[in-house]
Amino acid sequence: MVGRGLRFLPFQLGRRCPGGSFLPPEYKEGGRRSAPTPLSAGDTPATPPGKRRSNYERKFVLQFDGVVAENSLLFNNRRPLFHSKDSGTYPMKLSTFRRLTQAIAFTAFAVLFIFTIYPFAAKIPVDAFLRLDPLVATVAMIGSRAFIVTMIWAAALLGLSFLFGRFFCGYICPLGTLIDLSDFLIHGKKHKKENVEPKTNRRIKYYVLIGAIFASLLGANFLAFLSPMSITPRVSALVLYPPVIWLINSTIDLFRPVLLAMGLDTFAQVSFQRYFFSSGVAAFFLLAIIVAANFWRKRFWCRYVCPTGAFISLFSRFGIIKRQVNGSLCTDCKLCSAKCDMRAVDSDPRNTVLSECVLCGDCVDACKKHAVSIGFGPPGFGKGNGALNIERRGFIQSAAAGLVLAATVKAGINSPKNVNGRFIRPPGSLPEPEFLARCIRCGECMKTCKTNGLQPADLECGFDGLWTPHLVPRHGPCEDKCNMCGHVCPTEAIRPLPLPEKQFVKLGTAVVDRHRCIAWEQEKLCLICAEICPIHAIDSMVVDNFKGPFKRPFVIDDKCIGCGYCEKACPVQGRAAIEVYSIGEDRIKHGSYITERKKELRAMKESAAENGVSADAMGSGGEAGTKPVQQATPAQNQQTNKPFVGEELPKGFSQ
Amino acid sequence: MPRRYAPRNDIGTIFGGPLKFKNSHKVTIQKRSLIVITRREFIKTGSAAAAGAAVSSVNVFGQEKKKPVVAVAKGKPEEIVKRAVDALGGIQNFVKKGDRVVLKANMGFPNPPEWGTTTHPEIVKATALLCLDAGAQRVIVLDHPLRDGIVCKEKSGIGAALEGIKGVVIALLEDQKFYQDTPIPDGKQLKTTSIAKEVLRANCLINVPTAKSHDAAGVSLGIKNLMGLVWDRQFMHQQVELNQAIADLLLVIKPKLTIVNAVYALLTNGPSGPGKTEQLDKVVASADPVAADSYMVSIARWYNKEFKGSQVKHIKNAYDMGLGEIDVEKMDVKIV
Repeated sequence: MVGRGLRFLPFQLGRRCPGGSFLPPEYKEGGRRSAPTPLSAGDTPATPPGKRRSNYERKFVLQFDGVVAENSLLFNNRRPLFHSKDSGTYPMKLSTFRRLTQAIAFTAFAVLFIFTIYPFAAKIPVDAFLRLDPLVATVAMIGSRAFIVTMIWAAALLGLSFLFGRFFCGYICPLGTLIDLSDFLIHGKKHKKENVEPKTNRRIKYYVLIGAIFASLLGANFLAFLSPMSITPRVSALVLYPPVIWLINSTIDLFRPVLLAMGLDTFAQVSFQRYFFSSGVAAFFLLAIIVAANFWRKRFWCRYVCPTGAFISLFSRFGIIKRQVNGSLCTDCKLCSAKCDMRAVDSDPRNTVLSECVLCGDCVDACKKHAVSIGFGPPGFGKGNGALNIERRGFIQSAAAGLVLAATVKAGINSPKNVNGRFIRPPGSLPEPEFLARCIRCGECMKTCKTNGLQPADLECGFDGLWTPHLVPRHGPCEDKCNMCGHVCPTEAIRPLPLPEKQFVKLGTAVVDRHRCIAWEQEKLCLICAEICPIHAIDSMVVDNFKGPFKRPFVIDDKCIGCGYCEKACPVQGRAAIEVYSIGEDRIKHGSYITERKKELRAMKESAAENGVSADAMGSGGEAGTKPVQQATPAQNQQTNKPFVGEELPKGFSQ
Repeated sequence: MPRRYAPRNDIGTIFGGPLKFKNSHKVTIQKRSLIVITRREFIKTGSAAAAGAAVSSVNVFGQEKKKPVVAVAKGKPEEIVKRAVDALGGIQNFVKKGDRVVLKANMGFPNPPEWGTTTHPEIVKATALLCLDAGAQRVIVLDHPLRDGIVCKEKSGIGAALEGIKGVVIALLEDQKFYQDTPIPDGKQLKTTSIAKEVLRANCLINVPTAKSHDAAGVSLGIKNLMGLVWDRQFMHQQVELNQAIADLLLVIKPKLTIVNAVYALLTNGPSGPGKTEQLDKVVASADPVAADSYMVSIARWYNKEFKGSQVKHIKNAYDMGLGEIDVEKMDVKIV
């Protein structure tokens, strides 16, 4: 009476057929019956031609299997919605329950995705879904040769898969939901009929899995193309999110006069930050192909490709809750086989391929004989169901393919070279090899980046770096007071640093292009770079060059953290006159970014000499004819103690 | 008669010049009355010199005008605003019942108030509460932050200080759609710029800057703070002479009241800090933006040196255009 204790569920959990023991073998579960023939000749009334079921058969069902069916069926399409006869209630069909679960899970995914934004990302585990993926965990851990504590949720999922089979694919996976939804919207019920003969092509996904894992041995991470937990968030972030924001903002713009007239000023001020992403189109095509593949086979991706599903199925085939067929009721009509999206039911409807079954309940609905149920079954493999049909040759081939592919990608000419030095990783990124091995290109960090500065890489960093995040300061700098990207990274390719720690991470160094700089070249009173620098790492000094003395910006390279605010704010059109290069970037695996030297550089100094900056910071630059000072004079060094001596006056002042 | 500028006591008008905005009829009326006054003066004095008043009415009629009142209050941040404004005759002089008030606070940096880079939250809050007490229908605290708006709002403490006060709205205008192209016909450098629509919509603009040094402009006080109501500030650095462009802004954006926050004055490394700060615990308030700035310059040791307001270029430029008084001697300073 297993189900008795689990009444809190919205459905009743069934138990094994108690009457099975005294039924003849051919009527037992999984037993085969050639044809719905009467049991014994003596009791058999003649079946009238044209009628599908004899009276006797009905009677039999009622007499014998009535009890069996009553107890063993967990979900049945013929049940009334609220059935209290058997002291249990059945609020809904399993397929309804599944759609509901899918909707809830997808909503949760969407809500977490929306909350992957500045203040919330550090407070809510917005990457919860991503941390569930066991393949992500495996590949990231093997690739970076490290144990990632935050990925232990994937182990929890595997544990649940032991119990509930491949429920993740059918109930939770956002990509599965997306595929189901698009399938319903595009194809409706007009799918062509499939040949239900058993095929072995479903094992392709195991080969993909083997390839992906072997590739991770060489530090390559192909999950950008393979894991649903990478594809879905990335497509959502790069492709869906920006237009949705644009749509919402435009709607608010439309109603803004109305809001103002109504006095709803708080709402009238609302305008969500717009996001722009490069290479979103490429990310979109991947999803488009996945959805389009439904044209050939339902859930094509889940059946043949998805290595995450393959990983889960390694465990799910031991499942305790599983599909069961009451062999005595089965008429071999194969309606369930035809209905099964996953082809977990082949030509033999009594058999269930447990590695494929996602417990969706379509077969329960399809069966007109109430023969199919989903409930507690004996643990272990089903009858001949456990086989994954992986051939040794296929194993070796896929492993070799993974290795070769990984080696090819890793040996790509652009791979981790960063030849032009403009490839800046997010703050707290691991050293490049570990980073590439761990990063699953999910796009969460780009979604959460406060300034929209993190952009997906195209092929700047080779094929290996496709869709990995990098900072494009001209687009958006790294906000000094924000550390969200580390907090949303499921594999901790970007370390989750506390804010004080993150503020000391050096991403690179800004370099002034004096030929483009309007202060250097055109003698314009600009200095926006010095104005906006969060740590005052840009200083302005009066320098005399061919054009004459003028106040011009200098980068204090040891102090500069490469956040890129200067590059963002530079008023020079096109390429900025001050650019961040990954010179001196901090990429450490363990330990603190805060060093004594950095602290010393940051500390407020009492005199300009100690600061390493000449007192010309307050020089009277911008006014031609003033005396240029190349180096600090003793009098100027005492800037904070004594008044200026001589004619040197701060910027903007005159005598 | 080529008269261009509002007279000294009408400095509170937000819409100077022949602009065609919602309230432009008011401008016209003021203009007419001004012309009448000018003509009257012209007849009275019988002097052709009045024609020269076009450039600087202050120079000609300065001796006849009242001294601009500058109130300086020292003490706790939450009290000094009221004391200073009361010394100017009370908030009723500036905010009328049912007014839509814009507070231009400086919240352009995500730094704590102790850094002196942003207006002290208590000062903003006290000013907002004063306006509400005077019957303001809505107080809109706005800025075009230099750094990221949401982070600035949170880290400057202004968001938390104003939270839950009914009638107060914080607006961080980080999109061009919140700005409107505005001609500055009399501008010497800046002929047109995009100004926040909220300001053009409001009845009253109160400028609540913070006192800090500035890399390019020397100091960043009230007049410089008005740059935070402009969309394209990079243009002002790149295409025109910055100090004159800042002064030109004062032709179209006319705060009725300037309250300079000097609770913490950032004396070096401005405007973003971190730099040397001095805890003055003061506010400087005046209806005259130039006078407020000029006085503020004189009470802190900028870059560890004594300065006068006339030494700061953009303040001097504003004075030269007749937009206010720069000489501390000619101000009616009330220390409360």
